[in-house]
Amino acid sequence: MRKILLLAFVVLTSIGARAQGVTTASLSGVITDQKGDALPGATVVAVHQPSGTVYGNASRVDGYYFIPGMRVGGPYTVKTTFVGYKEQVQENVYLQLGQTLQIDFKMLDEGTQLQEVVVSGEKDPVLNSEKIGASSNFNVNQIQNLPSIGRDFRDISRLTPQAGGSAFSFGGRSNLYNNLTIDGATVNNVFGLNPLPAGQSNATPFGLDAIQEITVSLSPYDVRQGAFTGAGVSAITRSGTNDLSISVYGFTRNQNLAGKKVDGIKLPVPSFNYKNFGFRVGGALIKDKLFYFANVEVENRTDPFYTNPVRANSSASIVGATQASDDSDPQTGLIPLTDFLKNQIKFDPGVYKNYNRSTESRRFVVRFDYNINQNNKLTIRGNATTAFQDQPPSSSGGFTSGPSGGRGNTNNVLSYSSSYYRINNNQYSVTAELNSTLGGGKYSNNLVAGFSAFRDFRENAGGKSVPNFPLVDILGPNGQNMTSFGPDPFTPNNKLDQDVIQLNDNFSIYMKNHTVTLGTANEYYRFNNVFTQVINGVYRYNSIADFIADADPSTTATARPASYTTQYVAVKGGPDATAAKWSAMQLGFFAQDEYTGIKHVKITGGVRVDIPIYLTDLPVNNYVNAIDFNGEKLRVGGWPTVKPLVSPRIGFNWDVKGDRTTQLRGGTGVLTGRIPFVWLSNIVSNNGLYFGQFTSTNVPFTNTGDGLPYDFSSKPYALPSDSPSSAYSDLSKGMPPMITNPLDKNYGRSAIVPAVNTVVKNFRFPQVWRSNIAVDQQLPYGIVGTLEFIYTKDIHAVFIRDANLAAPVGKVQGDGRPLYGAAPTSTINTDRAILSNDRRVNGDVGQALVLDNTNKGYQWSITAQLQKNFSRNFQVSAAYTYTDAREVNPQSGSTAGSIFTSQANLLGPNNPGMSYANALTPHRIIAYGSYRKEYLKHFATTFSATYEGRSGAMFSYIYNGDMNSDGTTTNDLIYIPRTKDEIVLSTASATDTRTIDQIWNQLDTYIRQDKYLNSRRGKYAERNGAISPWVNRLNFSLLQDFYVDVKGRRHTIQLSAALDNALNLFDSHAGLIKNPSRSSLIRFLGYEQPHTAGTVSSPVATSGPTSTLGLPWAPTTGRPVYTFETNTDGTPLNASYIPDQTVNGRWQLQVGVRYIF
Amino acid sequence: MMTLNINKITAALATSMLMCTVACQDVDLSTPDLSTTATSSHANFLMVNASTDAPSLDLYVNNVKTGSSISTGSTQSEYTNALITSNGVLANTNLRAKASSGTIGGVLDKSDLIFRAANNSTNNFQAADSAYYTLIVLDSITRPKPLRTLNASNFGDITYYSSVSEFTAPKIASSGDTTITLTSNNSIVTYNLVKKYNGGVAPSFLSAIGTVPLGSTDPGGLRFLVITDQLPLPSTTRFPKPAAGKCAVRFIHASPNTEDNVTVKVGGTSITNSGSVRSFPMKYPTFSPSVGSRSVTLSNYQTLSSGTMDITVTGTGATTLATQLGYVFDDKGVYTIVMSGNRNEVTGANLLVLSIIKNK
Repeated sequence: MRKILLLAFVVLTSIGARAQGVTTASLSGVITDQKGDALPGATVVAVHQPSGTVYGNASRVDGYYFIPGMRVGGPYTVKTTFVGYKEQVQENVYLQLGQTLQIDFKMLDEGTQLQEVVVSGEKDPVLNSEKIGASSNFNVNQIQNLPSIGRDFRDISRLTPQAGGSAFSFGGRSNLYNNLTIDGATVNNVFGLNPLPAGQSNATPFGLDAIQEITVSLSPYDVRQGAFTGAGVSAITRSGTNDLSISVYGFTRNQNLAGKKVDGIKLPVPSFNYKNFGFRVGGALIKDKLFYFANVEVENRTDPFYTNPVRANSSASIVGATQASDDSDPQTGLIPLTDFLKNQIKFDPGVYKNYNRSTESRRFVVRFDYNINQNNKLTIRGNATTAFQDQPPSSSGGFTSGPSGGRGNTNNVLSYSSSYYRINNNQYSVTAELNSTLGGGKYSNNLVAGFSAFRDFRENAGGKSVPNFPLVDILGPNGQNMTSFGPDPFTPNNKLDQDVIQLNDNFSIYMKNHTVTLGTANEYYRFNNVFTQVINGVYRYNSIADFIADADPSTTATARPASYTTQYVAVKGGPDATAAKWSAMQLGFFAQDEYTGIKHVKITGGVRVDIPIYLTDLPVNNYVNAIDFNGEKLRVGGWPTVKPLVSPRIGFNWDVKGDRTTQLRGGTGVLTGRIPFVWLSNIVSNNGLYFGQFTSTNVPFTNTGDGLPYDFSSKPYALPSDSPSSAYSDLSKGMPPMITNPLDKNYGRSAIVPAVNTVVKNFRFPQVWRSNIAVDQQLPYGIVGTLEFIYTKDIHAVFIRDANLAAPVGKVQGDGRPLYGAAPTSTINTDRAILSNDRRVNGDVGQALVLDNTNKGYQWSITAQLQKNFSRNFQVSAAYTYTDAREVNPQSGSTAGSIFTSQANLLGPNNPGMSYANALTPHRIIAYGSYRKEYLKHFATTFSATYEGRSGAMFSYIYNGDMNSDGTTTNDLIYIPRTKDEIVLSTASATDTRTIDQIWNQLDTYIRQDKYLNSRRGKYAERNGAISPWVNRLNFSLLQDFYVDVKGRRHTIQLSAALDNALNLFDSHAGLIKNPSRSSLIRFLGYEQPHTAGTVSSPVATSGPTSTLGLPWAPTTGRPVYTFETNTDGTPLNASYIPDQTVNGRWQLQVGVRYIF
Repeated sequence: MMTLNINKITAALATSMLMCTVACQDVDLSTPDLSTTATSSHANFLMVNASTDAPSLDLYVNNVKTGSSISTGSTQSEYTNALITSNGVLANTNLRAKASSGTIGGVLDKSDLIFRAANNSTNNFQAADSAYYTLIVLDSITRPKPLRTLNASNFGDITYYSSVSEFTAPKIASSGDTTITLTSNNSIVTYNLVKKYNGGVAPSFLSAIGTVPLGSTDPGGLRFLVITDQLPLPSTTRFPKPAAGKCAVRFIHASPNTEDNVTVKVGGTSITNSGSVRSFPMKYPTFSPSVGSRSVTLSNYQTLSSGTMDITVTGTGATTLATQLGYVFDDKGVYTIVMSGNRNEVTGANLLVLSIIKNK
């Protein structure tokens, strides 16, 4: 009889589809009778109370039931029934994102009168058979209650014990290696100029009010999770319920609610104004059937750009002020310059004082949940974010060096507002998810389709159009840049369109002891990136007078710019023709089995295959590809070959005693991620065919015009953006622009092909082998303790090298590290052969960066964590994590070039060696808790706190200057001398009044006070070997509710206060972030006997081949000569660290009000 | 059903730890290859105080005092051998003169006189190992900081010195101005601005001396002229080696307001216009753009018979400007004659004066 009933129930009940990977949760357990025997065919029905959504299934032959695809959150009422037995009910069940909650039922005969507890479950989120890898989950209460003055989900995700000190990195890996999904769809900034969409605008991609839960997953052995080697961060949005729910909110803070002192010193905070306001609404369109949710919010912030003011007049004191003055002083006065630009040049340079930066974002989320029937549930979510932020002009020169002193507002520089730009980050995303149950509960299917569009572009600050005008830098009396006007050199034409189309499907088969999942995850990417650096030209003048003399069209020019740099488009069609327009896709296929055939043990094993495919044919540069780079031929225009990347994974969870008090879990497997696609896009756009470059420095001052177009008044910037046809590349032949270009003349062109980026044929996306082992232990007082060890080994890490960097020519004398050759001559050279002692292998080409792999690099961490969930309203967690992470290349630059040039090294940039990772935070303590108390029938108070104690940022001590002649001035690790004999010192400048002995004493004293440097005397500094001081950060949040209950519904007014960096409020010496005051404290001045170039009349003796145009170099033979830097006022550096004086380093209070219905 | 036992788990843990032991490596670094020989580069400096009105000066090389109390019109008796940091480095040896007591005064006021090698301020002097340099302190402590004028639509390119010392720096109120206002002690004088390229005439009290880009760090007052006398081989800049019975003499014209073309006779033989490779006489200041110091290589010695001789310097119209009678020129000696002082002074401290340096 019971068997017949069983069949009937199987037909009548159903299960939801299973997709606990990222968007839903599951319920499982075993149903037994009083004797403990499995009870097949019992019905389990779970009802999501707020929405009336019903999920159900029947127990199998072994008494096991499983309900996948359930809404995250709750409360649920779970009911089990079976004929002849009493109904069992479990109320107030809440499900976490990605969780499979286990609830076992012991059914009692109808005649039994026992009142004992019969429902046993694993309601603990940690002590749970589904918990295998390292992960952290944050629910809607934590998201709403825990302090986050930026209203930023990263404040929540960083509560993960393994998170790093820097934003959004986990386990010591670069934050570009994470994958962010919302509702199962990728919203990651796959191009990777910033880890997150809208990150360049300092905006978050979604508002906290739209989020139901966030899970940070570090070592998933579920093969459905992919596309990251850092962490997978999954957020799901809120859903509507049967009850209308509304919340309207606003938050604000400004400089009056922030610390006035830093480390005991009174320093006013520049005035700023932050506002965040919006509303959310959720409800049912059809009761129990169709639900909606929407969240709209606006965040804006105004900060002053203008922090170092213009001097009232040229004789006013210049403390804290810029070189520029607000008068007509011929050297420094901006009034006549402004007049000249407006009246003579007819160019409006904008203003030079009292201008502000705007930061604004608008976020929209709308979601529909449709319970089509008990077997099919559909979710559609759309979101849009439009964000922008005004930015100061870049201080970079692009392919040459930028002006000394930069272009942003400092105590030297005051640029006109026309040089500031606005970055716009817009994002639009639509996702549909269908969870289906098939075969009467034997199968389930999860289908996710998504489309995301990212539209990033630039304007001039304030949203103005970018003028067709060059950038002009004018130096001030001290030789540093004084002012700049004209658009930022990287802003004209700059845009990035990204489209990501996603189609995922998982199909699960439920068998006795086995759940088999087969699936596919596919992403299609389309990019269109236009980046025309320095396209309008950059002029540098030594003085305002020089500029005016050169630019005045009514006079014969008598002055010349000190330098002129431009890049021109070398293909027909203007800037748009240089767009990196390409597409690619990554196909993923996987299969896994969850095996429960061993008592108290769950094993999951599977394999995933990812196949990156490149879909766009690229122009080939035959000119470069024919060159032999020390035995290597480059592949400009070539993609890597398509090769599947296989990721096998296995994990287990073992309930050691069978009572869920001690749990051992872990696993091992391969994770395959993406690289930021910008690194690949570099090979599309930097092919040496699209652009020609022109640089002229030390332009002679003569009264006779030489006709060269860098004369400002001849307006070379107004030339058509297409260069003359003689300068076009011949794309059909793969030839770079030829040098008959009139721009070339005899000036400035160092190479026919300025720079190329390529990728090796066998390049592989990042793969790591990650393993973890953990013990979770039930401790007294309901505390759960976890000890977790994670070890990650890089299989394929990214390694970037310069194929055109010649082998070292020797060793740096007195130091021992490799010494590179001299810089190529700057004059044009059509037959540059390989010259002895030249830095380049081939003089026709500049930097030739190659994207390659290395298997070096590893990360490991050990975490001890204590957690206690008193109730939904009271949770506490505290964790300590020790992390070590090593890498060859810091995998965190926005271009291959910036990664290559920014990594400190000892053995040369092509041999950076393995060292501490950029994202490493060795020690970190994270604790948080929240408590809510309702009282007097109308009041409730929620108090929350987070504490983070961590090691400071890691950094490298490097020389200021290019001591190994590798062409980069900021990448040479220092040697820490023991005695004066070990370093050759000199005065820094003509005005330096120190004797050599005094310089040594200052350096020696500095080393002695710095623990790291003192410990490494007689050794080299390590990359990221020095650690900034410990950071303590305590944040509070107080929510005060006033509520009335009307007709069973509660109306609440909630006042909130979030205090960031509370320790700093009590003591201005506490809660500080201390940054290195100067990591490049030793300046390289030159060599005792530097490189000298041969001349035709006096060639340098060499055995190498010579050329009539490029003569060999005599190599450096002397030791490097250094000076120890001073403060700007000439006093010696005497402390390694200075506290962050910005508002981020002080206490801040944010207040808010919210209405909740 | 299978069961797991704790031994298997221990084994797994041990394997994980072993993995780490194998893979956890030290940071990749090489061993320093040090060369700790103390720097022993030296160069030789000889300072001449050829200013009309400077106080007694001390010479500092890399901030170490190497010469003291050199009064106006006088010279160090011989080259001082000073430790320089090294040779070859583009910016390494710091040269300065300080007043032996008190301040230098004048335009520089309290500042030291600093050798500046470049337009935009602060580069050091480039000294070579074993080289010989003559450092001549030139000009008046009241030499004004070079200033620029402006014309109506443009900044001018002409630098003017005010010949009336009480006038302060010319300023314009805005670029639309067509006049220049100079403020004297008691009155404000307004002049029409000088137009560039259109034949505009400068006010008569101003004299143009050349182009100074703005951003100049020439602070006015005294300045250095540094002459490279001898560089190590293979350089061709060498002291001459006069034969027996001969000496070698050169002349430096360091009087700011004396005519360019002067005739210098030593023992009746003209040493000017001797056909040497560089133009001679060297009038200093020839305008040195934007830098209050200048270094030149000057090796145009004239070979003469040695012995006791008179030195006479005559200017336009054969006016005798300065004389030094009965000076003993040693056999094989190498000499530099420096003329400094104020052309217009008839009596007093700032007379035109000849300083004679025995270089070798």
